[in-house]
Amino acid sequence: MGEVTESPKVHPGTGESAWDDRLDEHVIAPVKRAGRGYVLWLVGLSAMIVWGVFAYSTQVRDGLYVTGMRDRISWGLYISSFVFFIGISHAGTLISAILRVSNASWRTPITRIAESITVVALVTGGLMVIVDMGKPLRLYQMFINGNWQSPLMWDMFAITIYLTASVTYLLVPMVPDLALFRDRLDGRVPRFQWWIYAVFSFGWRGNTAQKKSLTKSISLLAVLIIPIAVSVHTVVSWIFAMTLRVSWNSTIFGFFFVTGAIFSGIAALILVLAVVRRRFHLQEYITSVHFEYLGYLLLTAAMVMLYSNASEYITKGFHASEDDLFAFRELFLTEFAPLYWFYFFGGLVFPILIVAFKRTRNVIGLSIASAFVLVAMFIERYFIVVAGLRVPLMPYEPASYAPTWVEWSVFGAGLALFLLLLTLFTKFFPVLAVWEMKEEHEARMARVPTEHEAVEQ
Amino acid sequence: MSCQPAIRRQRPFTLVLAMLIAVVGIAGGLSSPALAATIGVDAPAETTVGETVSVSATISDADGPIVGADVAVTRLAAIGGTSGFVELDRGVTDESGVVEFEFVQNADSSETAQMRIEYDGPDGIEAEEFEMVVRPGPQQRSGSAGLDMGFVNVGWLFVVLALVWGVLILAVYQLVAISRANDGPGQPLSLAPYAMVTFVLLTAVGMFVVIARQPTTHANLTPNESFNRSPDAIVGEEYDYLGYRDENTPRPDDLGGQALYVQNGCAGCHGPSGGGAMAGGELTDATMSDREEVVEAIRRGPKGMPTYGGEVLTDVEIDRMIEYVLDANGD
Ligand code: HEC
Repeated sequence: MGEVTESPKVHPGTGESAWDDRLDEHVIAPVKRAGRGYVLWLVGLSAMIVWGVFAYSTQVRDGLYVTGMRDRISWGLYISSFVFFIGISHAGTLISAILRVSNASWRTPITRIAESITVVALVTGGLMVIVDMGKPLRLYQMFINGNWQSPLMWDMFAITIYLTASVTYLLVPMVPDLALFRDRLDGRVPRFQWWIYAVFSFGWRGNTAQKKSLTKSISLLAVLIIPIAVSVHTVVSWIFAMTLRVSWNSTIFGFFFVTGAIFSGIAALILVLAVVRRRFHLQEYITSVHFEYLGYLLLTAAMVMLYSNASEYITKGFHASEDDLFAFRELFLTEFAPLYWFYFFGGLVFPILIVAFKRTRNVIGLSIASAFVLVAMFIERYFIVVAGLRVPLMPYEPASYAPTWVEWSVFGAGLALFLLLLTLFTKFFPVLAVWEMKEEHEARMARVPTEHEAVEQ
Repeated sequence: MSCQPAIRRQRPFTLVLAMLIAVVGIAGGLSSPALAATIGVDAPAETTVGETVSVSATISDADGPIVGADVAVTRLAAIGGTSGFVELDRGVTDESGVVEFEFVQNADSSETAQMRIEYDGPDGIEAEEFEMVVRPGPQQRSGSAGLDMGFVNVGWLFVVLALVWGVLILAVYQLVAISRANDGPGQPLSLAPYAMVTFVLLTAVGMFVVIARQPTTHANLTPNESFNRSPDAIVGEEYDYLGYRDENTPRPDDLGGQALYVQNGCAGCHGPSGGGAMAGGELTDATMSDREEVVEAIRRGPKGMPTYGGEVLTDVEIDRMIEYVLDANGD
């Protein structure tokens, strides 16, 4: 990872403004630069999206028949990726809101990226459900004929609220930084781009009244968004747990899903941070300390996941019904065993080991562990959906499901959309919470360094 | 003693014709006994939903009781826009001309059941009508309605949502405050923060509207004394719904129009034999006047109807189905 500068170099008395200016330049730099690799990356992602749209058009024309879903296994790759993406979106909530509420100041440089992952993942996940509906017009039916007794409606409510809240939560703390862009980039970027900065900085001048409003808004949102996020993934789990399915009939499903969401959210954040910090040369701000702390969070989440697995499967397995046995046999021994055990060892045990040892607890080690976690968590969503539906409700042959090329293509497009939106965001918007970092830097400069900090320097 | 209930569709045309013949017959002064049989009914005047009801009928003619007569008890029922008499039970008279029926009362409790004893005699069906008051009772064919705790109701959903949206709107409103506290040069599109608050407000209101105006299906979740499911009704012969078919599903290629219509699930939305139901409209001569448009509609699936591509239904099968619907419902 090249030379990694540890915590920000602080030189008492040699001018905070130099530090501030350098930070400004670092954050503004991506906006002005666009290499060949970057363009290729965008073209590649766009191509995947175009291909996915084409695949989707065959589905709109011929119906869900073109997917592998049939009457007995009626959910598949689409719903799995919906749950997966909504899960990823919990990155922002945990890192940003929980750590903000608990006053953990190390989070400041990574909040913006976490919050943007939230919004982008929510948009992608929401689209996956609409794709799963078959005809997009069915969404309209949800408004016209929706029943609030249905968990699907709760899901729609929860996600609508979550999307609104997290867009706000991304935007509000970004206002002072957009004002920075507005002031520093006037005439240096295309007019329309500057206009966007100007509109969405809402006339921010940094005066006392504005700071008061900003703080008020952020505090309200940070507190509000935690229960919303928890409710979202709980409700997502309820669209499973509220139906009569053997494998989904679980009281810890909500808890299980929320934990899984936070787990995969942290992994996504680690991976995105590693890429962003390298690409935009932000090693000075996003340090190995951040990765270490995120690693501990990842470890904790993995432990809780292990515990949930034990709690769920041992309770049920101890007095398993015939249906439970069918589900367990398929999950642990036959049909889905490779998926399950990859998830167990690759996605839960392996990351724990990586974080546990100091030698591997670094950026590269954590990135690899995070990649495993993401794949494993996707697989978990997949076997929860498909293995659950495979257990016959009546004495008929268990049905099979395999995604068709249409489903794979649409899923690929979803992934590409996620990456594309994230790429565009990091290119055009401030990836660091500049004003907050400055404030903290100032505060740190204002007091005598403690022994601990002095050692760090 | 209980049989497959069956709806016999009333055909106004046939009725008119029958009445005409009767009038002509009487006018012609044919000297035969006016009605072949007398039907006596002994039935409770009041029943409860879910209760097993006993009804007995006595069939006799001028010569005394008719033994071994084929008699049915039926009830007028409506489903998906069609109505007709549903057979509840059928039996044969004993040596004193009496037949005993038993059936579970599954009429809507809000109505007075229009009942009929139908005697299938040598001169065709003779009927005697009577009424039964239906009072609410325990529900049938649905699970229990759950624990009824009056204070746990949708009102709380409104409260929680109002709270969440309220805080959210307050947070977004701070952008307006920030914008108004601008003490520097003006900003472009200064209405933007107001627009955002309005947008969030409208989303919130929209959510409440969606909840408030929901249709009344799933009513089994809200205990409601007067609610009951519609009775089962099968039109004529019984066909299985086959689920979504594809080219790999073996199927006979000589299925009749009605079988195709039922097996492909059309009946679920358009009612038995096209009379119309909750989701799809009535399929009549008028709505099916243009054959090409109809085929197009089935292939494309307008307004929420599924698409039926070539793998599911061949052109020939669609033709057969249309013929059936036109025959059964087109007037
Ligand atoms: C999921 C419910 C559903 C199913 C199943 C369904 N339809 Fe429909 N159908 C609809 C709806 C909704 C419309 C649009 C009605 C309207 O125009 O308002 C429609 C329209 C039609 C029309 C056009 C009539 C008109 O008013 O323009 C025809 C013909 C038709 N359906 C035939 C069929 C046939 C044949 C089948 C079975 C192969 C079938 N439908 C299955 C819901 C359904």
